[in-house]
Amino acid sequence: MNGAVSSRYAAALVDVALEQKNADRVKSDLAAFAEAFAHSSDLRTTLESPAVSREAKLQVIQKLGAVMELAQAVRNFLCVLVDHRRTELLFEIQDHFRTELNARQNIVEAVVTSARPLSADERNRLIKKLEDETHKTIEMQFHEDASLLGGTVVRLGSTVYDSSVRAQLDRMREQLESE
Amino acid sequence: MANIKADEITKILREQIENYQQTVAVDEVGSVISVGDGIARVHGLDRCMSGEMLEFPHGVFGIALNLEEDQVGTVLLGDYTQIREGDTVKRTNRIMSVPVGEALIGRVVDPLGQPLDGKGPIQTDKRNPLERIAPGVVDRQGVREPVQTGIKAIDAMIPIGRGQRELIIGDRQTGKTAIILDTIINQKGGEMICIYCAIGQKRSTIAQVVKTLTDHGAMDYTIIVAASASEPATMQYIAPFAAAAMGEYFRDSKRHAICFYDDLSKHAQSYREISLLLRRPPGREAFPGDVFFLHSRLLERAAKLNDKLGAGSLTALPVIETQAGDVSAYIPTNVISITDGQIYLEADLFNAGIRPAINAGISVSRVGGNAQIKAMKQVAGRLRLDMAQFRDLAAFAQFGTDQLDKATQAQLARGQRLVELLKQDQYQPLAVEKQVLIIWAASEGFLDNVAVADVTRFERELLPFVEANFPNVLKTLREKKALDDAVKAEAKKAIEAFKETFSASSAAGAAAAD
Repeated sequence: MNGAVSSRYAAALVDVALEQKNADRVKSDLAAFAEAFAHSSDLRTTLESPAVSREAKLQVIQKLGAVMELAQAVRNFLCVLVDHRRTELLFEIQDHFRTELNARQNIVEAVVTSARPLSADERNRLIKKLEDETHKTIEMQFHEDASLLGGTVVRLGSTVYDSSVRAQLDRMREQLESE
Repeated sequence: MANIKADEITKILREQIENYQQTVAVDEVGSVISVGDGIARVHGLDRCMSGEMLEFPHGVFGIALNLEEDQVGTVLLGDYTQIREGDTVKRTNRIMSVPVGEALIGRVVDPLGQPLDGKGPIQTDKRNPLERIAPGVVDRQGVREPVQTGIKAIDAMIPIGRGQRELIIGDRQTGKTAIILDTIINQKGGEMICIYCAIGQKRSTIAQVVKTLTDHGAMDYTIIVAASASEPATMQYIAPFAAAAMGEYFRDSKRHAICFYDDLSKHAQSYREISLLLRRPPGREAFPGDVFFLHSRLLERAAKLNDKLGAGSLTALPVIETQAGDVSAYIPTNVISITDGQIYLEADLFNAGIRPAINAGISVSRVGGNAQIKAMKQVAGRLRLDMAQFRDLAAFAQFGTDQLDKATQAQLARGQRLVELLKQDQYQPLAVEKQVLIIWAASEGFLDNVAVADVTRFERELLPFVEANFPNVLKTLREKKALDDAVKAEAKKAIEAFKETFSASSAAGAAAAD
């Protein structure tokens, strides 16, 4: 239920951000505010408490916005959230905002797990290969997991390309067990 | 031995290592959000199909039933206790299917087609999907060949044709399964393949059925699909679809099969369980809204194909268990409206000793008449009329018959003998020509002067007598399938000859003297 609500807010913010052509700024500002929101319990209490008046909350946002130099779109958006009393959905909205923005800008997030750190050359070749494959811009996150033994596991959305040695050993075991 | 095995392993390992670069496994995966009560909710699996098989860890499979915005609701087949939150779920790109083919005949299998009878693996490479669209209108034709159940009351008054769907409905302990078993036993030596699907029954009951069929040599042409009460609701839910998929193989290969779904009330209950756990909204009696469609798409798969498609057939005999004779409950009314007729079994009749306890008044077969052989049609019309008149008069007769006129008394007497005649012991199915002969004898009045108590014995002794002394009568009936004047004359001679040798029993004599 909440997923549906937060995805609607996120989609609206994406619309605004893309229209004003400052999507990256909106994205980073939203992330910055979300971080502040997560770390300061005072801020959370102020914005979520029904005891604080709407005007006071809006003033807090305006002042914070000025200090943090938030984009106008983000400030307005936070005001809307306060008005609608949806501030507790902020983190969910931020998640949905990222996915929605990626989808609109034809960006795919890929998570690459490898047994040892990949060299810059290897990383670029992997990105190139995946971009050719998917016809989309790839944003990569790199992780290391020694238990893979060798090779890489690339996860694109819900598709997994598994060429790790561990998976091959697993398959080999299955094959031996079934024979 | 150990040496050879080590060699094999080394060889496989070497092959794997040599081909190391070529294999990149591409999987579409999701992760388990929650699991419980045989249901798992999975996040991810963006392109998952409805009804697709999903692979969980520890070799457990599931079926995707609910495709939602950000999760997939699946039912799990098998032991789900080891599955944890966060486990990886893989797509298989396969719709659920079961093995089909001749290899299944004579076997007892679970709804996934795995053997339960300990007779080794099933050697077949053919598979049919669990859910298949039923044949369309142009692919079908009307029923034209009979399914002989071997039960006089059914074959004469409620005939079943190949490709028909005839419901067997009644309370518990009224002989529903007995009718099925008799029908299966009666297919011996014929071309029908029987598929008995047990849904939510006790294991002991299923074992009893298997034993009965084995003892009567009926397993040679029978498949048993069993999902017992102790199995998860998912297994019970897919069991009749698995049976239908196995039956469709024979239907589509120009042969004749018959599926018995015993019973669909329990099937509806297991579907209700799954639906409620998947949080689908409950409707009447807490069944989900599509429980009608569940049964209609199952029963629609029974069909008589047209000649171009090989004229194969799949007959369906679903069973519904009513509670205290209430046929207006949700599931009974649904299935009654889907099927081409129903056989009502009543506890009162059963207790009065009328077995099979068929209520001929409200049992109907909407299409089976077209499939009856001509001889049976000739005698059955008369029988049905006599029985109807008898039922009307029987209410009066309770207050004494003395004041009734002669014609009415004759009708009552005829009716009593017919009721007696339609009684039949279990596991004693009767060939159709014998049924025709005895029913013809009764409707021609040959039994009117036999005491009611003697009717059963009369029948039991008449048939071997005719077989031994007038074999032509039954032979011509069997071959010509019609009751012409020549046969009638011969039959009359045979029955009259028999009546001379037939002596009334002492019990009947005493009754007559009263």
